Amino acid sequence: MAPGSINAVIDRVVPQGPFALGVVRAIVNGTFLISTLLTSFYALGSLPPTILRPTGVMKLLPWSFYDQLLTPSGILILKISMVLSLVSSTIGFGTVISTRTSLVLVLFYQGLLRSFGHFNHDEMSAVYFLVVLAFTPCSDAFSIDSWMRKTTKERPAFAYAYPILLMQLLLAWSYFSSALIKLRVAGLKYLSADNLPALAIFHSLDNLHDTSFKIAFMLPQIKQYVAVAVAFVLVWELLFPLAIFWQRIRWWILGIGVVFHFATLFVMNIFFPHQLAMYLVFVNWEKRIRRIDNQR
Amino acid sequence: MMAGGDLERGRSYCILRGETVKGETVDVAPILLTNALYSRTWTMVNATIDNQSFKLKSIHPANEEMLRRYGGLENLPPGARVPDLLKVWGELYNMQQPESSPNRLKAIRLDMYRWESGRYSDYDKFVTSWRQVL
Repeated sequence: MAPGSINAVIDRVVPQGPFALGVVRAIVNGTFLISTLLTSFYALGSLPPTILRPTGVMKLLPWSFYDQLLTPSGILILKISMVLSLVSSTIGFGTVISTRTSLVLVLFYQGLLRSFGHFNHDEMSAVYFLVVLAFTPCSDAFSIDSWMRKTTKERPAFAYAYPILLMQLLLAWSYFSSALIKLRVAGLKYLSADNLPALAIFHSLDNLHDTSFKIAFMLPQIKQYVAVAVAFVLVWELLFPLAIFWQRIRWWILGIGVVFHFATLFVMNIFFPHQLAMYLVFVNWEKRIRRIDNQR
Repeated sequence: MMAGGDLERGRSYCILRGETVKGETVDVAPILLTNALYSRTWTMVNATIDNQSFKLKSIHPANEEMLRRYGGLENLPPGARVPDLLKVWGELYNMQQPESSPNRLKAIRLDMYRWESGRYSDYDKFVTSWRQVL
């Protein structure tokens, strides 16, 4: 595809102004800020470091560091640092620095959580979004920085459009690749009638999940229909990238995503709140603000 | 999860319970104690039961010491660090109760069950339990 036609596609599917990128910065950082504020770091810091299994680059840090971190004062310092940084990056204050410190701190925190548990996906898209935002001009509008500057920075429209397109592609890839992995690992067996009922019941037996819904135990009675639903979800995941390029079906694909994630909550006791919040990257915030301005 | 569920494969799972001062046994939801571990608590428990923190290239000094005491990984009982985790959960639970409450825990335990494979029944064959007095 010629560069001109690529730009034409981007013009059509992605908002072009600094305002949209500023709003996305506030949403992504704000999501991590809210989850940080709602989390008991004191309880996290009480967990014994002896059950920690540092993952990836977390292995490079010495045990004495984790021994210091997993104490009431150590974990309080981490929380305060995260809150200060995320407040700044959410409101767009000292954005060039604060988006980067937020990225490093959130990345470290997510690594710490995964060193206790496992590599789950919920926050991953949002973490990738933080990486994108840390290196793009996301404070040119909808930020304290732009308000204090009182002058508008002139940049070409693609400087704001490409980061949003990249974030949409990352989110779409998370679903598309999920479907590919399912097909690669399980093949057509993934569509067997017992797949979802067995998995959902397993996730409903203990009390270590975050919720204790028992709907899963009804699935074996309707397992033929459940298999159709599993196939539908697989097709939906494969078609998710269309949400980027085909505005007409975008809201259908995202709407099915909302239903899907709430279904996994009630059926499997598994929820992806960060992933759902990232759907807001598909909203054309430039158009929304213009509409509000016109109504005034 | 990518591989899907397999009815033919047996699976073990755990339930966290507390024994109150007034003598009742209550279910304890870990998400209300350590909410940072949302969506991860069960894998943290499974890894702790499997002694995975003893199988790292670089082991925590306290775990090294424990390994020495037991004479190696092969002699280590399953869930060697589960009591430490239970103690933390028990203390966090009691911190949420008034000092004089009869609902405070005197002990906390992790009960492991197994869902034998092949059919949608017999979900709760008892396997073992870890108990920590508080």
